Amino acid sequence: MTDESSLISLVTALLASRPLGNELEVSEWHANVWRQLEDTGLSLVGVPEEAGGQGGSIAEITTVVRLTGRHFARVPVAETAILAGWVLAEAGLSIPSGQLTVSLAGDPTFSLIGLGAERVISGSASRVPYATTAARVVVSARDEFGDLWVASLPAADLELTPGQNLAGEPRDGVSCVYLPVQHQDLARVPSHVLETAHLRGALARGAAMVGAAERALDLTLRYARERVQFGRPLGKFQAIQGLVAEQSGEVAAAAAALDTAVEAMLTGRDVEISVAAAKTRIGSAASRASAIAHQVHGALGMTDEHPLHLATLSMWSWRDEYGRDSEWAITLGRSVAEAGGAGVWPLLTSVPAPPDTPIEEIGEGDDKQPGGSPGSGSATPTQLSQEDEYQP
Amino acid sequence: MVRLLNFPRPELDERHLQLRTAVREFLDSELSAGTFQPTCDSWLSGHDPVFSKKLGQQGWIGMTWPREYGGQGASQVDRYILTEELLAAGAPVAAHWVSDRQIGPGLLRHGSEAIKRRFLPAIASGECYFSAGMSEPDSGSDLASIRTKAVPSGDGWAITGQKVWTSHAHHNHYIIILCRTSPRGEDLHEGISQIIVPLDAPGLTVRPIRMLSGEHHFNEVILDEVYAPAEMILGAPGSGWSQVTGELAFERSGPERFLAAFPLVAEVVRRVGPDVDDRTAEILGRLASDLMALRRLSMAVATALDAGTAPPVEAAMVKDIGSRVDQQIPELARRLLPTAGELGSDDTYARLYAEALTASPGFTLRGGAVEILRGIVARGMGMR
Repeated sequence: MTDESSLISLVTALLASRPLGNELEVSEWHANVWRQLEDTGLSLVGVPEEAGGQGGSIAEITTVVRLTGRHFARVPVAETAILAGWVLAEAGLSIPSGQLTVSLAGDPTFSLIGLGAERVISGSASRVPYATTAARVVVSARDEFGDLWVASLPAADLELTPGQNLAGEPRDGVSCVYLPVQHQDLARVPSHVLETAHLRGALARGAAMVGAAERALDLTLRYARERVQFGRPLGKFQAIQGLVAEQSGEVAAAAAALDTAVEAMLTGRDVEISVAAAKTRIGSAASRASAIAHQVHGALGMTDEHPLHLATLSMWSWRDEYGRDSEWAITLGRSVAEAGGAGVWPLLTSVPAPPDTPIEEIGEGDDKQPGGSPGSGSATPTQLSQEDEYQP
Repeated sequence: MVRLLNFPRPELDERHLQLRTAVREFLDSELSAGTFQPTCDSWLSGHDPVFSKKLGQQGWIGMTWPREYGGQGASQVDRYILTEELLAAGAPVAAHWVSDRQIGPGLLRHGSEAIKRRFLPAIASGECYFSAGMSEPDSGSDLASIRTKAVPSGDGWAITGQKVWTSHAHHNHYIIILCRTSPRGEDLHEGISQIIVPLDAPGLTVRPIRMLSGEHHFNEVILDEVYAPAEMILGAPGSGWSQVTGELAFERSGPERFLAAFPLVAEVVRRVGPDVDDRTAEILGRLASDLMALRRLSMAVATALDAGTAPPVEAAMVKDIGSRVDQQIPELARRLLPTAGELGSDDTYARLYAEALTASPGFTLRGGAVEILRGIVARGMGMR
């Protein structure tokens, strides 16, 4: 892959000029964005080349997802690359083209049954992202012996019940009864693959939220400079400056937490506490940053003609997907309590870890990404552009 | 134009790990020898020259300064690691803290060769302690309105005025007085200078300011025509304002802005035990996620300083977020555990809680009140 700044320019160029309002134009723009992501190979970055992906690391695909969040692109790039592409590669299954999505519960909601030489799958899942537009849905299943499997199912063979999250992204019901599964679409997986999938999902939503929070900040800064009341721009008022500064700090803290989690994924060390910390901190930042952004924007920010709602509806959706911040805080807090009074400081200082320290085996060796070089380069800048393509 | 936030990725390697381990081993052995008791806010309250001298012998005061002035030529990230370990352990580091953090770097940058040779090695060995004479009774957040003035006298200056909130002036050896050496002109910031004065100089009086906890670390310093030789002025006369504000990235973004109450956190974790309910876990987890993000941001500012940039907006941001997290720690403690806080108590939790709580209002005041910091951040983000 290319270096980080050219990746950012490439994706940013691809995502520029999202239309606002006209539903047909918006859906055409999204279809076009997806086509371009596929054509440029970006939709399978982070998936090993030998498995049919584009190579590159989790850091690069996380950057792509962060940018789709920043530019309000409703495309299942996280589902396709970070989740489905990755899990298919882990399971040694082929990666089909088109949009992919997953339902990878650690305690599967699908059952796999042998019927003679044939295997059939039954079950259902709710709120599966983009199932209605995906070519395949990769689900976790348990067989009659209690073993765990992943099955790559053609979406056309499933019963789909369309739904949406607050941000208008497809979150669909999926079900099947005694659906025959081809041998080449089925593989047994160890349980840690499903645990890691949950962590990767949380990381993906965290990255998208950081992007949306950056955009909300960009819009807020712009509005505070331009909106004049009592003869002065809003940004001249100390009360508004206080809000804007707090919002900036929330975005900086969220981005820091994301960067730490991405590095942990690259090295395979402290993955769970880093992701738990990231989803917790980013989730709380999303809540506070959304509230401040709306307060500064006044009533205009609540209308559908102003783009702020695209950022805040996204954050309000994503903070609750792949574990709410409360749940991840509980996970992290249990690690803290287990570390004990003498162990809490060593736990907090274990991340970010130096890259060449010995790798502790954590049973999730699947995170060693090719091309990862956590010790090099600089963190994705919180790049706030002066230009904004939306004119409310 | 909206600026980019400058939080570069911290580059950690094996050497940083070794430094951290060395500091931990030192602190463990001091703890088991009983030379100190962990306290909250130890960088302000724990004045212990014996302990500071031991750190000096380890090369852990002024470690970022060049070797010829008693330093180790270490990086800001090294210093970050050292200082966060000292604070997390609640070690008594107040004697040398201000000298190490801002006085020494100021002398290094703006001092004459004679000043550097005279003071820096003494500070680095843990034997010479400075106070910073900045605030005045009528000049708090509005620092440029100071009225203490120095007038030419013989071949030096005669300084008259009053300083407040001068930590440890009753223990330390020298004070750097921020004063007017010429009347304020069009520019409020012109004509301000920094002059080094011994704290036992004739005409200088130190009076205690007792805090609500009963503790005494702050003082009033009254100067009545205190004489200072011309060579004791730091930098060129009139350039004091930019010298003082130039050090703010060092002063504001350090781990003391979010770890002052950390010894209380460790004690709370010890008390709640390994099996916690969801509510306790969530409170601890949210705090841990805040501290982890803050550590990274603070380390990023140190990394930026090592790269030769001084990111004042980012530093203000770290202090704004950090001091608010630190301030809520006593509140989180009392949500988790019952307490009757008692300073000086034999009950460690009751003592640490009382220390953290009684110090906590100052977290969001000292080193730039939150309201001032947020103004700096907002202006940095394009609000004019």
